[in-house]
Amino acid sequence: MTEAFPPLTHEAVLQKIAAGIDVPPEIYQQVVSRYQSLSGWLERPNSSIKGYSPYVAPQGSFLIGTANRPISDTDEIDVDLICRLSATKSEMSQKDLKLSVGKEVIAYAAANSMNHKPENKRRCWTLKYADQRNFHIDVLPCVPDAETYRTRLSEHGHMELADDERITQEAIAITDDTEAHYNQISEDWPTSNPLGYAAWFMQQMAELLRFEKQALFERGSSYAKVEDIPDHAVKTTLQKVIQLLKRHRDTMFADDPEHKPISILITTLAALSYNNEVSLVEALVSILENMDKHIEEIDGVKWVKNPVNPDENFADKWVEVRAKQQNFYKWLDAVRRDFGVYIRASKPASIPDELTARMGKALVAEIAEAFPKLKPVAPTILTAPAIVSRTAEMAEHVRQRGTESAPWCSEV
Amino acid sequence: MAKYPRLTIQQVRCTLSFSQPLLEFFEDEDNIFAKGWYVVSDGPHADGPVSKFEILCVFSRNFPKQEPIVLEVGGSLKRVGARHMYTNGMCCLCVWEEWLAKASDTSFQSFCDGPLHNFFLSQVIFDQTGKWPFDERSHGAKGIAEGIANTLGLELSGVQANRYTRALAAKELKGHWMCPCGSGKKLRHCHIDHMRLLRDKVGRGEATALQIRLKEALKSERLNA
Repeated sequence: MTEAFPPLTHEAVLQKIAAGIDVPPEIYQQVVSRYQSLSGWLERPNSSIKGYSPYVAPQGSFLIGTANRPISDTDEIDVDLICRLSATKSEMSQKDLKLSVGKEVIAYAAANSMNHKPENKRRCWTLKYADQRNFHIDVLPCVPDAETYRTRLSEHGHMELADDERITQEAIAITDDTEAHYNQISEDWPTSNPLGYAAWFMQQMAELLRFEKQALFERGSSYAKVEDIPDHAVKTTLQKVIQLLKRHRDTMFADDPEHKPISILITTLAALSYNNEVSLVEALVSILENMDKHIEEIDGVKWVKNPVNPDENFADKWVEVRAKQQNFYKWLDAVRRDFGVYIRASKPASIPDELTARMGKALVAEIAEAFPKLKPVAPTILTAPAIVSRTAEMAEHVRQRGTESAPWCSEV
Repeated sequence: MAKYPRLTIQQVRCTLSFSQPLLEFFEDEDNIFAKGWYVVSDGPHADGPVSKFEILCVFSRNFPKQEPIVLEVGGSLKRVGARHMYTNGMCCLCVWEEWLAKASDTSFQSFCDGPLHNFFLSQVIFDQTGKWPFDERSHGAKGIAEGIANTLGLELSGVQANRYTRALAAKELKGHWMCPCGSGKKLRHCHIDHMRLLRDKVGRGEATALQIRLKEALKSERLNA
């Protein structure tokens, strides 16, 4: 049976591109089985940390559904996990926690005959898998730390956030081997809240998430009720836009990955600019037009506040490394221009070269091959009445906004 | 007039890169330039954009104090007054001070969404229908008077417009002045309350600028007569 194609529109083409850069199911399954396998190891009866009820969960792009398919088969697949022990900061030092988790992670690698010994990084353990793919998992040891997080938010006047349990209850204390109190039992641990951030992110698209789940259910899914559909089973326009933006960023900075705009910045600015648009084009327009409006300037320093901890600046590295700030604006200009040329100045079938290069030539060629099967929704030859109706609508839009202006001429 | 920091190329890029992706930007000490195709577009459409014009813009860093210069360089617009074009290709987007006085927001973004966008859309519509969708101003001083009248929401002759702007530009209103409406009465016995309302609506700076513009136009017209 041939696949049913939607009519040829910018929306349909961008949807195809978004689907083409999404993580393929086999990689997604591999990620899930690997983190479940690690989780099973840590919980096994003779695990040295079993008594702390280790909880392993994904964080970052795999959790919020914005991870992309690697550009090439040799590109890295990074998966970030937290490994949360039911312990307190008063019963162990950061080092104790790091080494306790590390001991089991090392044992796991040995038990699974992994060629690479897990690497002890500043805050996490890195497991490297000997695949044809460059697959690795960062495991972040942590303990729950909701109370410190809540107190800190209150002390800094962020009362609304402090009272939001969905966010505060996920806060964690993490380890950092460059910290002064790393070796000692102390209350002074670095804090983080990746799951709280994910809860905030999902909230930004809650309406669309419900909409997509309902749509999936109505298409006839295997779930008994809409409520049974997990978040990862559907993809919202916000997630797709972020995937498109990240793919553009990754290809643009393929030769300078160290200074590329970081994902959390792109994700946060996009989520803040998103207004529940259902259409991918409309969401893209809204996000591209408004992203930079959420960058604040405080005492001459650019700030992108962590929405679940406004005292944290996601753009803090811009101060030390000017290239990072310059590259962000360079990228923003390029991504606006590349999508702008397509959306505002091209016909649906004419994907501009720059956008093709950023999204991947092979993928665009694959989509272009499907074009003959697509039916244009409107005649491709311009007709005067069609243009008149379009411009009349544009003029009406100006009148509705109240931004009319009349041309003049100083010469009589 | 609202005060804005000096215009930067980053601000121009942030405003125009998506909506006008076929423009390139560069800068010197005093100005930011935009060169390329201005797209008249209503967003994604099966037929592509409505139209395109090849342009060169000069945006002073002192925007909006200094009016932007926009030139249509591709020759697709007839360079005649009837099309609000000068012979050198310069486009007369609007009576600048009228826009400054009337617009609720005089930021660069608002200029791009307003007079710049409206001018090229109007040109396309004029070609289609022979009408200016947002009206047009008469040439010269008369057009400025119309602009002042439009800003104030009054029907005014050129002389009346001059009187009004003078009163609006003054440091304070004096009751013994003759009312600008031309009734021959003193202001305190005529439109003093209305004038106070107008002074709230149109800033002194904008009124002064309109008055200077009107005076210059009248002077130039007298010299050319």
